[in-house]
Amino acid sequence: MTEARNSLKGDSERPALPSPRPDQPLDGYAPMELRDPFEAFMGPFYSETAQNDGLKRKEAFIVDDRHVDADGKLHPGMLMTFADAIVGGTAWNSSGRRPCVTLSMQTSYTGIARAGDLVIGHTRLTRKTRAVVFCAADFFVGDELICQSTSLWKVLGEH
Amino acid sequence: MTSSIESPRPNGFEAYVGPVTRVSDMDDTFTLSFTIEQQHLNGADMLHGGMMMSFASIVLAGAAREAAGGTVEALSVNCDFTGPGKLGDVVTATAEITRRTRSVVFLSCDVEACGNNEEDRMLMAATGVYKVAARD
Repeated sequence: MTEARNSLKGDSERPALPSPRPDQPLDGYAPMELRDPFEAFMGPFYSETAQNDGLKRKEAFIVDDRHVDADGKLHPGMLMTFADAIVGGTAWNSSGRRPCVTLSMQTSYTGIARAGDLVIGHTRLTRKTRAVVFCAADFFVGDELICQSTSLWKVLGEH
Repeated sequence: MTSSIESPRPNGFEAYVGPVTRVSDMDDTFTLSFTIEQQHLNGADMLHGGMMMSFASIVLAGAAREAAGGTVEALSVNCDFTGPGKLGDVVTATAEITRRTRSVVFLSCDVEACGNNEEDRMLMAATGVYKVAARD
């Protein structure tokens, strides 16, 4: 199961891990501190520097040769990985920073991306109950919607 | 008996998150496997959900490709997480074709993990809808 991180405040218990590719300058975004080995492995990821409420946010990544399939198209697995990483932040922030785990995630693929493209994820909270958080995220390359996702998260310790 | 996953061209993502190998079976099923390594983990030292979903999507796409006899594209994938995986576990999934039409393949796979001297554990149930893009 995936444990969400507080992407706003950062989890100070574990060190941030380096990614195999360098951070790139991105207007309006700053590189995220990634503490999950798999996220660092697939990163870097970037989060918007503009003020937000922690629930409705934007994050981004730049597609490179690690992320594409044999035809040079962004692999769905990478989109799901990115979605899981960033939506977890919304779940965590909505539960008052109590750890959350992914129960279920659905993704629909409406467009493609290629190496060099900037993918921007718009994350939002759909509904929060005591034990379950419902989230959604849409992914764009420019104006084109390439992926939609919805997910359910369990707030650990709540029933 | 295992063999590297057959792919007509080098595949960046699948090679990068792997190695993912095909497990050959007597009855011609589509089964893939990988071993959980350090780079696959989340902050709680368990298998990262993104890697679980990545592996499932590799299984679903590979099986859909074989069933369709041509290239396929993911339309929709759903993953339900039922249990955790840990470093060193061998993770396996066998695809089941639910229905194949001329333009769409419906399929599913259960992702399971096995550690040393342990019973199989169910990690995740995945279903997928794939479009048949072009026939070989």
